[in-house]
Amino acid sequence: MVARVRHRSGRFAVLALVLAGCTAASEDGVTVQDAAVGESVNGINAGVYARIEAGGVPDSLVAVSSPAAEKGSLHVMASEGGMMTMQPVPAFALPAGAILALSPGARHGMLEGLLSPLAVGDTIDVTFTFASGAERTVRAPVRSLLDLRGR
Amino acid sequence: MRSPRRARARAGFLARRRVPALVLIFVATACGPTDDLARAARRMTAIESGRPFTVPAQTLTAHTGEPFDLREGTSGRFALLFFGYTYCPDICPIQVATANAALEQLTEEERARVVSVFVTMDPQRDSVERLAAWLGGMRSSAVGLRGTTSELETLLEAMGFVMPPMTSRQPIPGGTAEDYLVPHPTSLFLITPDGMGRFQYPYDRGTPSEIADDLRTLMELSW
Repeated sequence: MVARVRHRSGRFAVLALVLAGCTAASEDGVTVQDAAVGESVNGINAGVYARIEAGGVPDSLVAVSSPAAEKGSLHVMASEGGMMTMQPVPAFALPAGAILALSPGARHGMLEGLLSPLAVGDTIDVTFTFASGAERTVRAPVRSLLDLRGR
Repeated sequence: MRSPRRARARAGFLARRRVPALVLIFVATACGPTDDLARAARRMTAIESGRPFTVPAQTLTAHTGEPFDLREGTSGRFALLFFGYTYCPDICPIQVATANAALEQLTEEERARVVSVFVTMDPQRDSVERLAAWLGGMRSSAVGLRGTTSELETLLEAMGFVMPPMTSRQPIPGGTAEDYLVPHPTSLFLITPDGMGRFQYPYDRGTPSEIADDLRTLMELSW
C-alpha cells in the first residue's frame, strides 16, 4: 500500500516516514510502543505498561524512570498459596526479535515516589533503559483504572 | 434452548398421557434452589470457587471507625469482597474500581441488595483514615475494613488461604523499612445472601457489565 502511494506521489511516502519516526525506533531497533501509566489512586506509585519489541540483537530492559517520580523499578508477579505479590527484578530479558509486554497483573514497571499526583489525561515522559545502553523516552498518557483492566 | 418442534411433540406426548400440568410444575420446583443455582452459574462470567467458604463472623474496623462484623454486615445481601492494600499500584485499585463500576450499572433497587467490601492486607500502613481517603479518591461505595494481623489470619484461614507471615514481605530495594510489598488474593469474591463464597472473579476475568449481569442473574433466584 505504501509502495502504491509512493508511486502516485512522493510526498505521501515522506509523510509515512515521518509518522513511522514517532514509534521511538532507532539504529539497533528496540522499540517502545503503546506506553501508558496507570492512574495513581494512592498518589505514591503508578504502574508503567508498554509493548517493547526487541531489535536484532539480544538485550534486556533494566530500568524505567520518569521526571515525574523519584525512582522506578521492574516487577514480576509471584504466586503462592493463592496469593500474589509483586517482586522486584533487576531486568527483563529481551531475546532478539522478542516482544515484551508490560501489563497490569503481570510483568510491569512501577514509578515510585511520584512528585505530583497523576490524573487521567495527563501525559508524562517515561524513559526505558536497556542493558545495551539504548534509551527510549516516550510520552506516556495516564490511563484510568478501568481502561487498564483490558490491557 | 428447546426447539419449538420438540416442545410441541413433548406437549403432545404429555397430553396423550394425560399428565396434569400441576404435577409437572410441582416436579420442577421440587428440584430446589441448588439446581437453580447450578443453572444460573452456567450463565455467569464468575468462576465457581473450588472450595466454597462461609463468610467468617469476624469483627473488623470500618473506614468510618465503626466496628463491622463481616458476616452480620453482609448477611442477607450479595457482597463483592476484595483483599488488598492501598500502596498496591494496579490490581487492588483496578478490582475496586471494577466492583464500583459494576454497582453503578445496577438500578437503585438492585444496588440496595449488594454491599462492596475491601479488606486491607496491610494494617501497618493502612490506617482507617488512609482507607477512607483511598476509597474516597476512587468515589467507591465500598466499606473499607482493617483488622489486626491475627484477625486477618483467622479470616483468611476460614476462607482457605494461608496468611503470609510478615517476614515474607518483600522489602523494596533502595526503600526504607516502611517500603515493602504485600501478598494478597487477586480475585474479587462474590458472596451470596446465604453468606457463602461460591463465586469469584480472577484478576483477568469479569468486566463491570459482566459482574452486574451475574448479580442480576443471582437476584432472580430466591434466597
